[in-house]
Amino acid sequence: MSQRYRDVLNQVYEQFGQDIFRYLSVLMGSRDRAEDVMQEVFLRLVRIAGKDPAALRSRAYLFRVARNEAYRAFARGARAAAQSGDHLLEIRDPAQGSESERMMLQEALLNLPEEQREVIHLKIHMNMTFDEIGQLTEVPLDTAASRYRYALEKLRDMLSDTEGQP
Amino acid sequence: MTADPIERRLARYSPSAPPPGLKDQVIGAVVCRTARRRRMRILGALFGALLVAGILAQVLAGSAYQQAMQLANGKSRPVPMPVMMACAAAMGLHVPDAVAAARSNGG
Repeated sequence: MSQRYRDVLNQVYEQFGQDIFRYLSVLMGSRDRAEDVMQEVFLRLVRIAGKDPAALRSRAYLFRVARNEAYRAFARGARAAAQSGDHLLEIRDPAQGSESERMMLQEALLNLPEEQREVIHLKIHMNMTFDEIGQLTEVPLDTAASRYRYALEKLRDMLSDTEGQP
Repeated sequence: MTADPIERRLARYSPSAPPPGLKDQVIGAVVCRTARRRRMRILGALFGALLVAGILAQVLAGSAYQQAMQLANGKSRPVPMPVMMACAAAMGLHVPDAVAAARSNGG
C-alpha cells in the first residue's frame, strides 16, 4: 500500500475513527467485535480511496460503510450474545454519572434489538436527526422515529425501578 | 437538554472510546492484508498466464506435428510451409526428413 493511502487512512482515523468505533461497538454490542469490523471498514476504505477519495470526507458515507461492514459481519455469524462485561459505555462527566448506573444502562441497552440500540446511539450520542438516521439506516423517517420511541419505552420499562437514581 | 428522563440519563454516558493502540493495529492490519491481496493477485495472474501459454503451446505443437505428418504422407498443406516450419522450429520439434524433402520438391 502506498504512503499516500496510508496518509489518507491516518487522516480518516484521526477525524472519524472514534465516532466510527463508538457506533460499531454499540451496533455490534461488543468492543472486541467492533475492533474486528474496524479493520474491515478500513480495508474497504482503501479500495474506496482509489476510486472516490472525496467520499472519505463525508461522515454519513463513512458511517454507511461501517454499517454495511457490521451487517456483513452479522451475516458471517458475528451476531453472538451481547457481552455485558464489556465496557461498552463510559461516563461523560464523573460528577453526573455513577458506575452502577452505567452498568444498568449498558445492560439495558444490550437487551435492545440492534436496530433500536443503533437509533438510540445515533440520536442521543451523535445528535443526528431522524431524517439523517433514516438515510443511514435506509428506512423512512417515521420508521426511524418509531424505532427510537419503542427503544425508549423498552428502556423505560427495564429501568423503571431505578428511576431517579443518579 | 431533553425532557425525557431516560434520554437525560443516557446522555450522561457515551459509548467508550477506542483503545489507544487501535489506530496502529487497524492500519497495520490493512497494510498487511492489502499486500497479501496484491501478492495473491500477482500469483493468480502469473498462474493464469502460464496456463494459457501451456495450452497454446500444446495446441501449436499438436498442430505443427499434424501438419508435418500430413506433409510427410503427401497430403494437403493448409498452412504455408514456412509458417509451419517456423512454428515447429520455435518449439524445438523434430521435423521428419520427409517434410524437408517435400519442401525441396516444391511441397
